Amino acid sequence: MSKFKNPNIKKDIKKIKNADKDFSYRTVIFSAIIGVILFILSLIFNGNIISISFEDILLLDIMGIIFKTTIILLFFFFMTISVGNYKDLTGKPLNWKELFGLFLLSLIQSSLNGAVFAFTFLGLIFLIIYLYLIQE
Amino acid sequence: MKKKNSKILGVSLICSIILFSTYIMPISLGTPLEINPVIRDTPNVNGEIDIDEWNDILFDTAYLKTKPEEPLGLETSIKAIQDKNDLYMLFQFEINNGSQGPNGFLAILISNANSYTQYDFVDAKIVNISSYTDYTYTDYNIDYTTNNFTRDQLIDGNGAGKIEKQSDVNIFTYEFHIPLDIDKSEDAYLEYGKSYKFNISQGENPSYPEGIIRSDNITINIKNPPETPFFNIEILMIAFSITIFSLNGAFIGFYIYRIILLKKKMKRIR
Repeated sequence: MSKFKNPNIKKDIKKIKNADKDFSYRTVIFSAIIGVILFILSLIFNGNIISISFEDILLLDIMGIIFKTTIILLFFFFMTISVGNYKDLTGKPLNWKELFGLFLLSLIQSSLNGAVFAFTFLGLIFLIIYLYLIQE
Repeated sequence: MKKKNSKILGVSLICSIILFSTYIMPISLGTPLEINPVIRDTPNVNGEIDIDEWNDILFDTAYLKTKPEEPLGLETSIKAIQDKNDLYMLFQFEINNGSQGPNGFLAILISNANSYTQYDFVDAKIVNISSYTDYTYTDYNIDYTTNNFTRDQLIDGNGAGKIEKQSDVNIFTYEFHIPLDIDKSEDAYLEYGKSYKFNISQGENPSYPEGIIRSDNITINIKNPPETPFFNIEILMIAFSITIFSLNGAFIGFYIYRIILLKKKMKRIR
């Protein structure tokens, strides 16, 4: 082993660290953009700006509910990725308080429709369990 | 075993008689039909009778008779709708071709009280069909001194009528619009939450009482007007929706601001 350290190694490590941070930052940005798009879709459909109701056709009605639920669940998923990476960049892990905050913000989007609310609630619980197991 | 069978047979016979008599009694004994108007969107009585406007309501059936002892009169289907201000009624019956003259009419005589006493019937709303397309609506009161219909100075309510020809029968349809809770001397005063006796009369020409061919009494239970809810649910839902999504929007806005700050911080550290 050489007694002299190669000065390029430090530079390389710094470069790799910076590249990692850039990648994390990009993930924060892209996930947040997807989250915003999903939020706008949720505002349109779950906020009843565009009302999709097929009361006579059960199948279409169920599809409408699934569509609305999926938008909210994806919003929660991407916002969790974005906030998680953001917290990672600031040097702190995503804690339960923030996760619960995201859970609430996602769930209240579905509060205008009982069926969407029920499915969203179950979906969010499933996602939290999934993320908890993955992170473990 | 035989005893048991005869008991079952006996019980079913009694049940059948009771059921049968329940359906037969209103017709044979002339028990007046009681109608509870349905509170919902009202039809538009504008001259063109649109049956679709009455679609989701079931018909009640009255039997217009020439004499009370007549076993089965003219089967007349009736529907009633009520809203906050008005009562709407639809009548339908079939008469063989040529059995009704050119001045055939349907009259609603309204009693001012909850009684079938002749002199309590003070108000008459009449639709007179003169041809397949032409009809007139007239608001009368019944003048018992001259014993005839007398035209009201002010016509309240509205009515329409039409005839549909179907092979050997004509289907007569009449629609009436009667204002509620209006106290006028010329009309019967129909108050909310009370029952009123109506006489449905069909005849050749609108003269009282000789023009009337057949009639039947019915009771209409005027319902209390639907109460307007303290909160307008639609407005409440819109406000709730705005609050929810504003809260979410505020969070996202704040989060984007934090991301921009982080970018600047990262640049400074480098």
